[in-house]
Amino acid sequence: MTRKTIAFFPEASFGAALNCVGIAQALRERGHEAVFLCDPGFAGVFENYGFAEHPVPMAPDMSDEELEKFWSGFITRHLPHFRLSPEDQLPTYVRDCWEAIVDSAEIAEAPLQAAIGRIDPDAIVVDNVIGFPALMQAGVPWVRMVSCAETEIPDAQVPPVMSGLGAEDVASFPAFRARYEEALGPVHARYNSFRDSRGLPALPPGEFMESSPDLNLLLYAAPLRFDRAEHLSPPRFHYLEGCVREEDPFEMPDIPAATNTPVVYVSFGSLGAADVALFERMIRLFADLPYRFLINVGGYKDSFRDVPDNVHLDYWYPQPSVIEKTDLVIHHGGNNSVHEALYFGKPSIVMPYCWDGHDNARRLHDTGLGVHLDRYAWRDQEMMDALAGLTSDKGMKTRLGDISADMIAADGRRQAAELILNVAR
Amino acid sequence: MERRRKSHTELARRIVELLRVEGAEPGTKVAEQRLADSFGVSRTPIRAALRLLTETGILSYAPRQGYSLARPLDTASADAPGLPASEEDQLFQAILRDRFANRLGDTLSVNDLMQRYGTARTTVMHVVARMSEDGLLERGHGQHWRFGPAPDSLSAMEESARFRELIEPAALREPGFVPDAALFSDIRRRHQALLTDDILQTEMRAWIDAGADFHDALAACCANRFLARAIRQQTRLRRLSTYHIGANRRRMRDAFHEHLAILDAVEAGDGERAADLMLVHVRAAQNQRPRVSNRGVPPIARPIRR
Repeated sequence: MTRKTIAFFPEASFGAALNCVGIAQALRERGHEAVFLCDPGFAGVFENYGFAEHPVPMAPDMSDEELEKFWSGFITRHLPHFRLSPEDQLPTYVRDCWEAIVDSAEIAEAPLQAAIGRIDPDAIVVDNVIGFPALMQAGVPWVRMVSCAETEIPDAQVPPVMSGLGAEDVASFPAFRARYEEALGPVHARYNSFRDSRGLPALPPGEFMESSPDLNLLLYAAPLRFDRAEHLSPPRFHYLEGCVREEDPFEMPDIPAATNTPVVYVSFGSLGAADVALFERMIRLFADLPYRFLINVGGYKDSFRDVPDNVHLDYWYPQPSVIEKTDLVIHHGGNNSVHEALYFGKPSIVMPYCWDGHDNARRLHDTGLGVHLDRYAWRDQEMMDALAGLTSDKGMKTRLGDISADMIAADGRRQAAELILNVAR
Repeated sequence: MERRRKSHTELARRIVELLRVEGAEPGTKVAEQRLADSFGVSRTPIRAALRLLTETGILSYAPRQGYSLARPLDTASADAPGLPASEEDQLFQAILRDRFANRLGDTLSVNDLMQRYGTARTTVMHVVARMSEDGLLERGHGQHWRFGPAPDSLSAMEESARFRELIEPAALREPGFVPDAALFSDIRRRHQALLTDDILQTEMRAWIDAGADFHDALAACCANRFLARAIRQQTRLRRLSTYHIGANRRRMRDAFHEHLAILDAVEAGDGERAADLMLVHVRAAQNQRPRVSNRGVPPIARPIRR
């Protein structure tokens, strides 16, 4: 096969970015070129894994001071919203995010066209939640990565996206959908208007991205999948059993106070790390428990003092390499965390606070692969029971071991790379 | 903790370092008197250090023939593998580990340390004195000691980098900068040896040491004693914090190539170019990962290392 150039365009969040890195690594191993179109704020992330980057602004240009102020305001405004139910987050957090996402599609349009013109890729892989006209009209095959949750592609038997509902809650689907469409009506109309200006047809209420006519890859492992009314079938649709990237090896920090105790890795993503009060509460409890805790506190490490001897905090962990060495993962239901835990056969405690986290937490709980704890209403005893139960449940360990073996054998990165190459021009 | 006098262990490390820099091969004789002269100490501590190196298999001893090097020394690492850490070394590292993990507050007393680590007062006092010499601890009120500034937080790392942007290129531009061919050759050999390895699979300690030794080597060639001292202190603090906080391996590999390019420029007598490359090198180390991101909104591009 001739050498192909595949352009990846992940949204400016770590989940999508690092998921694409996994597939790009598999393409490179096969002798093809993977390049990244990314927001300047993510510059260096892909280069760190050895990939070329092409900057595509996806947000208004801001100075460092403006950016600090923006984030400070964003976190102050939205931290209280993370305590709300999925339904009550719609008119608060979710609508605000969609406004910004539609902005990003509009801002990115011209620079995206220019970058694609320069790169001249053989296929474009977009890992985002919104359609970008410049990609769909580039004249080359495009691939949609569905990497938040399976609920992103609607179906009569699948709970509405971001609802946190289970498959058996089918009677509640219509009310949530109605609330979703009501809350997002104006921003959806704005997006459709933008599409119209670019010669693209309007999308149905509540939808911001169509499936690709070429290839759609759903990052959702077999044990989690829903029984759909309308099956998503090849060749256009393929499910992947995870796309776990190769990361730096992880050297377990020296924690002499709790040698040989089970290791628990905690990460709520870079935004979730802003909830310092939640981590402080967890750390107070963890101090007296017989485990070693590795906690990803993002940019907030300096906020913590008197850290207990069995707790290790860091700004950043090479997550897949860490999870491989742990006994249990506590996370926010981000799809990468969900799948990295399954890939290495580790049980999860999921404490979601927004977006796809609600859906993934519910699905892990419903399929018996983890425990869903309310992020704020949890009681100490519940946490202790979940930790003790999940680290000693031999039946679950066996089941997770089988799932891990299947996922490793399926090699989602390789599968994704081959499918992308098949549709590339 | 196994009790060993710090001086013997330290001396043993220095002997290994000397042999390595000299390119000693297995079988090379190691004379007590020459070492005593080199380090300005009597033969008694040298003998104790040589015995320690024999116990760890680095040297061998034969009656009437004396000591000789028993095995090849790692060209990449300045460390002496297998050499046991002294009780003081262990305490020194334990304090740093806990400080960098935010387990120790800003101030502490000798009694606090004795209680926390179950260590004798004398040992704690020696370690406190050593940390004070290194600038890690400063005397506070009464019996208390205060941790000095170290690159142990995001803001402190940024400040350290900005300070280095000022001093490290300046050292290369300073009149009287004289390259030390032997030292540079050693640094270059260690860098090249490490670069032939897969950095994702090797121990980080050798990389951290070789990288820090590069910056120390340039400081040693700088005629301005104040600049040299400031660089050495920054390097020392960064070396110690990186042992505990860790480093981005891929970035480390790139940094080694940058080090070699700087050495090339220095050895070609192009101080200006070397200084420019140094500035780029120090800045590049700061750009790592966005601190926070979310859908649709601009990520904060300020760095998170690793």
